[in-house]
Amino acid sequence: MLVLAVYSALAVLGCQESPKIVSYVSPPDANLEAGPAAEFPPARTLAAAVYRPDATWFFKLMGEPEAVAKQQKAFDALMATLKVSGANLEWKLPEGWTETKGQGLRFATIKPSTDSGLEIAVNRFEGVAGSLLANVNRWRGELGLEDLKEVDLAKAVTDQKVGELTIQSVDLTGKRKARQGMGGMGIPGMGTGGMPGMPPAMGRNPPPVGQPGQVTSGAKEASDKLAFKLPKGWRESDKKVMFASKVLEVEGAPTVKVTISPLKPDGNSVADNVNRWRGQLALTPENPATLEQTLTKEKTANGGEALLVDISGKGPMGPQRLLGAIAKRPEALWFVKLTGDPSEVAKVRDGFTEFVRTLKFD
Amino acid sequence: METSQDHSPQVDSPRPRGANPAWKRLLKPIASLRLTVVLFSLSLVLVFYGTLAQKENDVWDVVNEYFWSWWVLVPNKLTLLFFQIFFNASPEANWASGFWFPGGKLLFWALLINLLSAHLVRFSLSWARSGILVIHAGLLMMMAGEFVTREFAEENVMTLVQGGKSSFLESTRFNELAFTRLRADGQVDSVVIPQPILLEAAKTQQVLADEALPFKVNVLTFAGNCDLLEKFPEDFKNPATEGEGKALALKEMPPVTGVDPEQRINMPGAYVELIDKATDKPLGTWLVSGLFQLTRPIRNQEIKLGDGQPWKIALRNKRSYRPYTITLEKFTHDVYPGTNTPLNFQSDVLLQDSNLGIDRTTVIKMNEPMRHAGETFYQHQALAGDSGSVLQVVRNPGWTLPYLSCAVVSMGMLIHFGATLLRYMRKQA
Repeated sequence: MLVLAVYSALAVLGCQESPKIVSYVSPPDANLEAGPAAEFPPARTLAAAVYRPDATWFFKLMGEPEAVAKQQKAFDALMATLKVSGANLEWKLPEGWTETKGQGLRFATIKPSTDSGLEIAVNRFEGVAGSLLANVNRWRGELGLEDLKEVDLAKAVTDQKVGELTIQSVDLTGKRKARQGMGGMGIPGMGTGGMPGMPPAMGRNPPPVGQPGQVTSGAKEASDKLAFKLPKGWRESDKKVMFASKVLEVEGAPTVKVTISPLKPDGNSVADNVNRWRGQLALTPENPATLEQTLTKEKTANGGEALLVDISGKGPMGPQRLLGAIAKRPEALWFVKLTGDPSEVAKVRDGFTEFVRTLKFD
Repeated sequence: METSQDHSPQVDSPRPRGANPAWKRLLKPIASLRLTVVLFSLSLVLVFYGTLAQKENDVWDVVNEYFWSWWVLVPNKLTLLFFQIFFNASPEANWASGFWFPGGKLLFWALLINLLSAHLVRFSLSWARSGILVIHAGLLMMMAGEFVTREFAEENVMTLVQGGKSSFLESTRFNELAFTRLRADGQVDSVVIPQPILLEAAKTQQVLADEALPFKVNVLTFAGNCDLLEKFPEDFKNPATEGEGKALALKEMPPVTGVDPEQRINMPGAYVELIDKATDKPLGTWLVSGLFQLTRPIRNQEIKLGDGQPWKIALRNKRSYRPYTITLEKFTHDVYPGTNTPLNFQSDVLLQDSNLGIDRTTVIKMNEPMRHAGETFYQHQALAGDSGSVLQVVRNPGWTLPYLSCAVVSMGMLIHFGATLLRYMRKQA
């Protein structure tokens, strides 16, 4: 009891020393300042993505470059045998190869005949599992390669038609990165600025796959022709958001973020994207056949028009409101999306409408 | 019909007034069981709001503001947030202001006084009551354990590159501005200014000085969490005139919240002007940031004064040096085949402590920590590219108290309920 009384008294008085400037002599920082350069084992990845209306498929072979090179032909041959079988895909294994059924997201594991330690991971995701750009960048990140920009995606990806399927594949060589931490407190996280010379992440998990919606290089070029006038208090942000050609911030509304994204006009319907937004706010999808007709219209600067969306729901971090404007143009489908805390979005709603009116596509 | 008069003593008769001293009568309301219930209820409410507050604030700020304070101003926004998330309250609503609520310190003391008063007023020392006494002793021990952990426990990390060695630990919560200079004997002169002093200096614009430094330190700006931008924002006037800051802009960021999905930590940043002590003329302004410490090798910025060894300036995690050295001889990171999912992290280390005559190799891996000099070393993380290992180093002199207190409470419950059961069985017999 006495001990407790002493501790308690200390708790009231506060026994921690007040901070002060101190000086001391210490050993040199040989460990961190002059440590050996990081050794990254070289690695190569052959990966393919197949986007289907109901699911997304990924095939990935990753390993030492020499071992992967020996299996490249067989991998390509395997891809050429892909075909649709009901809700799934099927393929024909090269001679001597084996296949085991996977669990969870892993649909199957295919192993070459040699004892190379290699394997092809086949993953199946329901729906659209991120855009091709996001997934290619995920694979690039595993090899320590910089993220690609939309404009460079077409050059990096090989499209192959196999029956009714389009197989989009990449061949990447880099150095295997260790990005996994072990949980706990977390090592210092990186800022979003991404200073040169810094590791992309230390002890952090790989970045999540981004949103669906594939941006074409044509649409990116189109973004250069977009003009607008920012309402008072709005400014362009330095932040980078995947797929967005512009990111805007609003003064006095820190949770509000505005992105302007051009999407490929073919294969991207207004209804699908509005329902995707609804899904992000945990709302049930509307009937795609009639959804577009229910949206209000707003004139843009060059005599065009934009379809407006205003929905509220539950975001990943709490209540959220989304204001959207969609402009259908021949070169791209333009999406202006404003999200944020409902109380802050309410304050900037008029500004958003004013902003949409100033959009000009030359 | 005859009646017999009962002369047996009246057991329930009130005690004489003299047997109930004044101090007991004074303490009686404080010892009230109702008060105990009210205090426990208030504690539950405090824990509820303290948990909600972590959605928007740093977890340690919440601990300080809610649980290690006498009073806390709870924003109404938290209540609204709760209703919006769980009861679909209107997302348009906006509840300003807040209400004052007793903080953890106040409730702790109130409960302690209430409990001790109850023992003095109500409970008597008897075998029948011994179980209750033991349970309460266990609860007090639990509270003492929390205090010891709060005041004396340390959680640090030690970062080791492959083949590298270290004899210092780094805090992941506290930072310091360090000025270092290589001496002729190969050692390093260090002068460090802790973060609270930097914060205060930035607020008051008070110029800092220390006899070990040939210059004075003027902290122009201090950001608890920041980002560094390569592209300068419009209307940005760069205060930095020297070093890395000439090409980078400091951007203040909101603090990392307790629910941050990536469990990041705050990365501080500051603009620091140095003033020559002799001439009172500015030597220049440097941008310093914890982000510079993430590079390998670390980006050091130099302050050149005359022909002597230059000083280096760095805003870094608070360091504490130890009398032992750990060398990372080998780091192993195994993954499940075909995935990046970790299977095993392992550090093969050499521990050298000349004071204790220790020079031995050992393995630290998941669930197999190393213990030395009152500290426990856990395998924590891998550096990028498996280029090194991060060990979590924990010292907690009170680590046994929660276990002991649970054992004591369990024993008390066994005694109390055992005795009750025995009494019941005797009655039945």
